[in-house]
Amino acid sequence: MALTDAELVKAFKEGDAGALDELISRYKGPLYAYLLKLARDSNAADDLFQEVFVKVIKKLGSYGEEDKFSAWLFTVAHHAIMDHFRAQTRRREESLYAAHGDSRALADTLACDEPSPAAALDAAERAGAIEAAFEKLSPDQREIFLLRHYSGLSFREIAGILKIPIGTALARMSRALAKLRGELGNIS
Amino acid sequence: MNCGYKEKIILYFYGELPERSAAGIKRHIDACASCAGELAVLKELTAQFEIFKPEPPLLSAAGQAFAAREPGFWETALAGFKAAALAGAFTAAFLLAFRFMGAHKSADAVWNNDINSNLDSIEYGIYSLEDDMLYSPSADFDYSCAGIEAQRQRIAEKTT
Repeated sequence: MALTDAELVKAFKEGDAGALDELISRYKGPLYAYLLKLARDSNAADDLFQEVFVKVIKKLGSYGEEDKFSAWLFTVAHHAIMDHFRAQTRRREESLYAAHGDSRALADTLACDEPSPAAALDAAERAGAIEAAFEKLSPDQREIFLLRHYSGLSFREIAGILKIPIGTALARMSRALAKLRGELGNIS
Repeated sequence: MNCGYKEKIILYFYGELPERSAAGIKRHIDACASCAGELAVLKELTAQFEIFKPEPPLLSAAGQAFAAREPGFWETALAGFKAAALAGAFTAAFLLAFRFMGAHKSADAVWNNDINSNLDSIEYGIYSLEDDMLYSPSADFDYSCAGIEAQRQRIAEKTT
């Protein structure tokens, strides 16, 4: 019978390196997909992926076995990627200002390079349109979708990670959905 | 227009609504085009996430544990020594450059001061002669002129 996450953490704390290998194996897929989709940069995602597990090991002392490991893991990941965005935004705003001479937001600039989706499209174009529309959302909005899908956590747990009320988390996703629907047109 | 069901639709999609509420939501979706449209977008987006399975980089527990360890005493001491050696090298280079620039500047300053004082003497001599010319009889003028000539000769001998 497979050990639970809490049992694996306990085993690792007691010196069983194989327990950590098992934990990495369980969560590497969803965690990396979450980081890559949010960061939109494979080099940054690779670095963040390693950084998250290093931080997990360093902070294992603060992990309580009654806590859900996936919630704790994605909390560490959330903080890591927010730090990455803060550093990235500072660098890109400087270079954007230099290139364009104005203070357009990064999202607007990236959006300018994306094609506008048309109303009637085949499946591949539709998928591309959905992806393009998703990329136009703000990092906060994208993260709500990605956390819910890849972490498997409930909205209550996600609200705890983001330190916002559950109503705010749901409203954020609702506004993002409305924006996506506006970009894609009526598909029902 | 917000029909008041937007957040409930999201909870319904992810299976977080109690069973008793789900039936009411299904009826609302059938009647509300806006909610039906957003539910459809959510389904399509989720389908895309399902097929997005990038290959993560290889990680091992041993590698991560090594990266996470606190540096040992000798490692910390070596890092500190390197930093101190670099700071010392910069300081030495800076002092050497400053010394070189400073020595060159004093030699120039001494040379320029000698010339300046000689020029001051000549200028004063001319000023005195002009004064004498204005207020002295001619014999006095001749005497003063001779004195200035002698002074000029002495300066010329000093500067050549």
